[in-house]
Amino acid sequence: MLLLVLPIGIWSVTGSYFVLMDLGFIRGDHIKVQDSRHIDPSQIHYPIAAVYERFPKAQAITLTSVTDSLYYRIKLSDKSILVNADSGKLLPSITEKQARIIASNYQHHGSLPIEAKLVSATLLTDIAPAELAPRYLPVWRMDFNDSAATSLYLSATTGELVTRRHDYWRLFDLFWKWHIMDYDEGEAIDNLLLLSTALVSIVAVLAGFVLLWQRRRRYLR
Amino acid sequence: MMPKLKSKPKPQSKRFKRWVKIAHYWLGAIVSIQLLLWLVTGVYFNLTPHYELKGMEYQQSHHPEPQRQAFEPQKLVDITPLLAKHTQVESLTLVAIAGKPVYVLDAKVQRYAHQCQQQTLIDAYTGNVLLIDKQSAQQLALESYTGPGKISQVKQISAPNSEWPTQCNSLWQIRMDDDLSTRIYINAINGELVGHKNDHTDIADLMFKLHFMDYLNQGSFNNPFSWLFGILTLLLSLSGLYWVVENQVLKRYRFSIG
Repeated sequence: MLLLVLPIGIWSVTGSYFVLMDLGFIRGDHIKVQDSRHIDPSQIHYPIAAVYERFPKAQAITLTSVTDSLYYRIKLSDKSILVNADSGKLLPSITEKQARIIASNYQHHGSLPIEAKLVSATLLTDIAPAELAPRYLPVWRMDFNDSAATSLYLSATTGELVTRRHDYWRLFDLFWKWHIMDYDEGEAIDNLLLLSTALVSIVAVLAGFVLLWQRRRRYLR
Repeated sequence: MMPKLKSKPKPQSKRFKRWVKIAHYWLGAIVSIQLLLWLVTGVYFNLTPHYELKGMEYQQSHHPEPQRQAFEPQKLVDITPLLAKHTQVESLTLVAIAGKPVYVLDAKVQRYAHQCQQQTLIDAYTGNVLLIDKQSAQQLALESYTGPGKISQVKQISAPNSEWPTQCNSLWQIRMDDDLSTRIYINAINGELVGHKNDHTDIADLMFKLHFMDYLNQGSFNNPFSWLFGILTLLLSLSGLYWVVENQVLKRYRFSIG
């Protein structure tokens, strides 16, 4: 029973962190582009029908602005690609320069602070860090030196912000592993260690009920 | 850790120790029921398969193959005049909805599907505004369904809805007469599948509500009940930990092995 100090302590610390930190903040909902760009139809010289003819297996074709130009973003079953809406040319990949422009759009008051400096721009092609789902590869990892060490992950094929992380979210992820007692992968909630510890803890709480009754005279004066 | 305990106990520390015990007793009394609920629901999540928690029993897990509904490119209406008419558009997407080509005009691209969508659907063959009516909602629901049931009832429900507390858009609810009383929800703005609910998710949702102390049905664990009980439980653990250390230092535990 004494050993339960550890898991119950961890559950209370991590659980309190989850509930006290706003989930929207943890997920970085405040990090967004300042002003939305509306589509200027005069920039379209390559018709959407032609795009569809080229990619008939596309699941979706989205016309949207990337940096300063209009592109068709074509969602295929295994990847997404960009086609310039003016020329119809395929964009091979997002360059570092474009990635830097896209990332800077997220810096403004109430979002990623303007003072934060972009300290590194890294192209990840083969191996994703634990905080990024490998299906998003290749991506540009844009690291900022703000107090929460924010990283923006921009798709290197479409320029989309695929995910973001800051230290409060990283701590949340770590605490989540501790909370579900999965110390290797961090996702398997159906592990035996969690089950057995929880069952013993239920016995402990029931024992606590007995103690509450037995010791009532001592505390209910 | 606590050298003070070994020396002669000062009166303040004695009083503090007494207070820790009283606090532990009362914190335990207050938190006990919820603590039990956390543990029991935690065990439930541990033992329940993921597809049951998410209502995936009769839900098509992959999107229908796109080539099945090939459109005729030459019949797609030009988007330039369309965008000249609808000026406040951030993105335009060509997708298949219920087998037909549709342009989705998005005035504000949102991060989450449950947020209020500012979308207009345009029939890509005619250029006319398209609404997700009862018939297409039924068709979309059936596309997502793999179970044995038939549609028993269809109705439109406006937000907020108790089964999807964070959902901002109005939904179509399609009831199936299967063994799990499946309800299929289709977003009435853009025709997207919101999800399936059934007898399994009724239990799962109740368990989540108890675990998250979401007693006001806000669909979130960031709520005052959680804040209060989180902190009380933290204090309960800390006072318990203090007590354990104290007992250890005063050699109150007598362990025997074998």
